[in-house]
Amino acid sequence: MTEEQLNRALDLMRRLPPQQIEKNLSDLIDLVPELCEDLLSSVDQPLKIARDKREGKDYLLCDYNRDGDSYRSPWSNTYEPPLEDGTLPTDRLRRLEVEANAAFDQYRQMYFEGGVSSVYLWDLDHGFAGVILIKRAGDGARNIKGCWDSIHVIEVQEKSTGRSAHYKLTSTVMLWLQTSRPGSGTMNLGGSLTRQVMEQDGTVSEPTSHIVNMGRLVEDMENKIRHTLNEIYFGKTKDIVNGLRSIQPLADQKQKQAFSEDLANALQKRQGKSDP
Amino acid sequence: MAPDDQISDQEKVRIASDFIRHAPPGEFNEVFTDVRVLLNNDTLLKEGVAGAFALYNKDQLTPVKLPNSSIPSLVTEHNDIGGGRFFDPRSKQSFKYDHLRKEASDLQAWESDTAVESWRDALESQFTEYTANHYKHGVCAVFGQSRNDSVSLVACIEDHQFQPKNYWNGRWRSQWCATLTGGTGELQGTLRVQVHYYEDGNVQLVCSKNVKHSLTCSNEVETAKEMVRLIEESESEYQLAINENYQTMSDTTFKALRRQLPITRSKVDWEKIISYKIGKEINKAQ
Repeated sequence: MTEEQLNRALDLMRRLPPQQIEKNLSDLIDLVPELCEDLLSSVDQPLKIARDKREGKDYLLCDYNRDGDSYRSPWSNTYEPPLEDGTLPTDRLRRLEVEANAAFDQYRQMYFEGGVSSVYLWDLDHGFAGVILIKRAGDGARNIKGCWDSIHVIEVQEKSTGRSAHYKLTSTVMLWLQTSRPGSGTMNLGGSLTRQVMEQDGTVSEPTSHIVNMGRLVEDMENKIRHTLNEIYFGKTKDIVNGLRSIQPLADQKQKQAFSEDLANALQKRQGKSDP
Repeated sequence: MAPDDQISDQEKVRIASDFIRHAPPGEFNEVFTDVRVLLNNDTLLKEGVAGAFALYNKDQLTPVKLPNSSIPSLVTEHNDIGGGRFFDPRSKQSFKYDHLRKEASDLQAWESDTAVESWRDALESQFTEYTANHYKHGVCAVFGQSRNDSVSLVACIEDHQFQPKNYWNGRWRSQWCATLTGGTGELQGTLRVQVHYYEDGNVQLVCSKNVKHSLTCSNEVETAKEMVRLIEESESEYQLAINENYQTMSDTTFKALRRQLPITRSKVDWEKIISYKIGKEINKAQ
């Protein structure tokens, strides 16, 4: 029964307005408490920002850097609120995590020119996994509020030779746009494009090769999703609106169409007559 | 909350009803089935949540086919006469409405309010022509009521496109209320658009706008023409404004969130980023 309920819950989250994700998720967990853990790990929510006071930098919160009610900062590698035995990556993995945060910080600056990024890694049996998070809020120019949230989950299977690895990436990007203006009232265009899977092999000559391989995969994935977001948000949904109502009177259009059909027929007849 | 802490039945009903009422256009059945399985209590569903079905249908201005008429009517709060029955002023009938099956039955004759019928009828004529002229599959209805010395008219339009096979649905709703007192009138409109796209995701457009106009009333036909003129102007202006917003969102807002490529116009040189870091580390070690 619980598996069917989880499927129904996920279906519901795909239909309810994403503008109320947090409220919907909270209500859903209240209604079916047994699904709590599964829902928290499979439903993406807009990323929240926290401040690492020690390092003076912002970081992002998600299920992967959470332990109980505390969250681990990727800058100081400590939990806030402090935890006695909070889960920490191994030393080897922590070194890689530091490098990854620095590298994706630069990636973020080059593409987003602002915002916050965080990378969290954890060990697997034959490799490791990680999440790369990016949050970019707009400056409200032209009276439009916008926000972008990236959630990239990557799985790295290291081959026994240690010279290559297999990378599997699953990504979700959330895009939120809203405006309130006299001419158009309130307009809220938001949601996410989910889980697309990209797999690739890569050579590993030193530990930091992982960052090069992961970086390229994430970059390609994000560029693809950005393209799709552009098409869906500003192409598809707009076309649907304009299909519901026509600014031009439909009678005029029918007339125009009838006229151009008549014209085409007349031209054809003319050509028929002048042919030898 | 511990897993065995249960919320009250009242809270469950509130949550289930909220979910139902927020079903995107064209997806009521799917949301209903989801909620039914999650609530797992058909008695509670029938007793506590059934009211939400009616509220949803009325809020959506749901079109309804009448067995003996070629022109559909709408299910709204304005033609709700209680006991699960609604009236259709165009065909002068009332009907029983099944909110789950979305079907009309048990048609009976219904008398309109004679004090306002000439005004209502005149507006219905003009409004029906207007709807046909701008909404390919639009359905409209005009309701009239006399209130003391005023004539109260409500005109609604609904148009939708449901394409679940292509993972999208959309609906437009217009609701215009006119109060005519003596030689003057006030026209107030609420325009709503909702679009849901859900292939590999969940993207929704939710828009609404309120409009107000004042008008002078002469006779029934002239006043109806004036109202429809204002309505056409407002709705087209609204549609243009939405399109303008789309342009700005795509040209300005979206671009400012994430570039297509870095300012160098080429993808990131990851080897360079790493070597820079290694360089730093080597410097640190010295």
